[in-house]
Amino acid sequence: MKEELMKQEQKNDHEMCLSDQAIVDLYWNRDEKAISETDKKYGRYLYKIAFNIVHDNLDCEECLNDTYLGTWNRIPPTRPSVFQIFLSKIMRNIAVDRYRKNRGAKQIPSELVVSLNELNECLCTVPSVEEEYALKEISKILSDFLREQNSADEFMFVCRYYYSDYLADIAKMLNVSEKTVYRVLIRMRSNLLEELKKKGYDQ
Amino acid sequence: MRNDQDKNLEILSNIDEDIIDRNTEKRIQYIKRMRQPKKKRWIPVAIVAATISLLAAMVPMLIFFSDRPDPTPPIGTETETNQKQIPIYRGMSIASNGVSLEQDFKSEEEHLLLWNRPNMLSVRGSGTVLSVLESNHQSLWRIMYSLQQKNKPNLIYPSVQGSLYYANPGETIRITIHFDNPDQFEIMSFTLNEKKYATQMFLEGSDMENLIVEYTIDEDAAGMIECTIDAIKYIDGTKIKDVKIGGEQSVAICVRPEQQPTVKVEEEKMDANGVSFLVSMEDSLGLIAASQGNVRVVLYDRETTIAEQNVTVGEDTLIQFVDMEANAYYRYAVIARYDALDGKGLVDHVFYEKEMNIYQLTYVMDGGINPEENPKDYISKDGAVLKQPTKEGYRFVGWTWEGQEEPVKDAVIELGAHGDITFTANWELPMSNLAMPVDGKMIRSYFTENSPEYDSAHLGIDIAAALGSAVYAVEDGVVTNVWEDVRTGYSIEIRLCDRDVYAVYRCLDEAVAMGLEKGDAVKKGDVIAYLGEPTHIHEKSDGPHLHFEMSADGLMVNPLTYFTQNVIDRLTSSEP
Repeated sequence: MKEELMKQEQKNDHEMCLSDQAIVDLYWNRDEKAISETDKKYGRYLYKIAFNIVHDNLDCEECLNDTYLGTWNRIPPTRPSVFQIFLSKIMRNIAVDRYRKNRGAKQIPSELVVSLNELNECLCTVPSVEEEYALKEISKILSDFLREQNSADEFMFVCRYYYSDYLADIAKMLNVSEKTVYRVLIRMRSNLLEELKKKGYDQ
Repeated sequence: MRNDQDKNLEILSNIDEDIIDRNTEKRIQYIKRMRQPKKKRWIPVAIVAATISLLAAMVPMLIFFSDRPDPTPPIGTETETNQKQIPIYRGMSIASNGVSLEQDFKSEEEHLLLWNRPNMLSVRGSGTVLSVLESNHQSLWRIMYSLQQKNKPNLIYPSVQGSLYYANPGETIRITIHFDNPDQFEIMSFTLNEKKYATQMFLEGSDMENLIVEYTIDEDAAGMIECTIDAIKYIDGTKIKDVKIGGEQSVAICVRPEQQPTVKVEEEKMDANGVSFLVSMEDSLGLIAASQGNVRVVLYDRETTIAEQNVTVGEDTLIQFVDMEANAYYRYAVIARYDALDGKGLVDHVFYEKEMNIYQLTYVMDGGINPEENPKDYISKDGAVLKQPTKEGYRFVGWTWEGQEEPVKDAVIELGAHGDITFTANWELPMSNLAMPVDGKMIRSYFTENSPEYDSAHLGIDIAAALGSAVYAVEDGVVTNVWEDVRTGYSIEIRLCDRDVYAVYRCLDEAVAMGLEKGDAVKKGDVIAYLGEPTHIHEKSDGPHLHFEMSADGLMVNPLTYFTQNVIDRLTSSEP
């Protein structure tokens, strides 16, 4: 898998890619070339997001296609300010949906599962009666909590639990040791649990 | 029912967009950088050996050229480890309570206006110039200098406001430290005025390029203080390294001193000349001198400044305002123009203000007419003289008011008087029981307008009697004149009862009349003369008669008003 990715990476690097603006213009003008250009420029990047979550090549391909379709449907009227962020979020959500669908049949050994299990101890404290409301409330508390963190900690949390990145990848991105990332995340989870307790979401 | 995974996914999916966007962007950058090819670290043994031998050969040369400057690569070049650009410190900015005070300037024009104020552009100080900043606009500059005066705190003072930050003593401000940090190294710590700040002290909103920290101004800080950053460390892998310095390490904050100038006003007097008092201005921090300010006492009315006198700071200054006009309104104030270091710049501060009060004047006229010239109010420095009122048929005796029981004709509002005053006009009836001047009948009355029969006014009464009849003094009095009138013959004038009422007898016989002299006192009923032949051209045909006139307060009056009804009846009765 890694070799495949590396090959594709090198291939992409050598190809000339259009600017984000030009690609968005293609979507805007309903030019189907937009999808191939997106794939050429961001296919590999998006593939990696999907792979962390669904952990299956075929599923990743489907997620990619769904993402391109989703992008095609959203632009226009949307004109994303940063195209890659826009794609990232679509891909992540599509991959999570795909994971949910697949989950029933088999245990998926994706990083998403690992990361979600890490969160079990602090997040799933919601009584089912008022679930909808409480989940939104916890999201709000989590957002506020993240804003209070320093930027590196916040970044680690988002990578790990929103994009389900591997600890090693996060460490590499930040040029720190895997252990550091691990320790930071433990500390944050424990602080988050405290914060939730303070707000009345006790186990 | 959802399982735990679903709940967690739901919660994570609802994290605020801005957090996801911000970190996704960072993630993209990191990934992009990770993909860039890295330099091979592997160095063949042969190259190492060659390098060592080359270095050995260069040792003498290095010693020879050791005086030459070290060719340090310029800041920001990509010669650092792993081809990464190490963080570069770029400077600090300050916000007070999270809001930059510079935002007070609503527009660029307004900002320029403040800086262009002419009195702000002439900075001359007896201190050390700390820094001068110039911009492309010639008048956009600022100078800081420190006062170096004996016995005074060494207050560093900004003479021109502009891009300065202002704060109060003890206030907590936010300082943002800016970095160029494209490779997103983690800034670990730094010292700010020798206090160490570490990761956990960075506030919300900090990121890899902008660190926000709180800084509390000392309680006893005053004037210009400086925040200096030093020892900025970042983490590169497992190593702690120094951040390169590429910006001003200090930022100036202007702190408003608690101790502001004070003023004392003593020996305040209002007298005939106006106002005088002693002013002493204390300015222990030298704020007024430092900002090229001044202290002055201003005398003004409701609209304009009438006079100004300067005050010397630190000394007693005698202020005198003279020749102040009556019935005018005045205020005076001690005003100091200086920069209080509160962000408002060089402005006027009013320290002492006093108004010269207006007091009401009330007149109780008892039916009389008050002249319009008499004032309705007065201020404490007045010295106006009241005019006399009039009342038909009465004589004005004088004004009385609180503290003045004896009537005074020419009342004066005393200089320096205070409080409302009520003036009461006092009147008296004229004498009304005069004796008959001659025993006879009135043949011509008093009239002020020409009558067809008489062809002129007749300002007296004519009483017909036999030639040689005795003529009596109508009241006690003093002879004030005895003379022969070309038209009315011998005449006598008597001042009655020591008042301004005069009785004039005309058409008298020469013999007795000339026996009286000016200054002789007469009693009521005394024979003062005898009736003579009429001499007046119109009155010759009337036969012998007394022409009797009276005047009061300089005005001719009808004599009948001074007689009792009994006397009038006798004069006008048709019976012999």
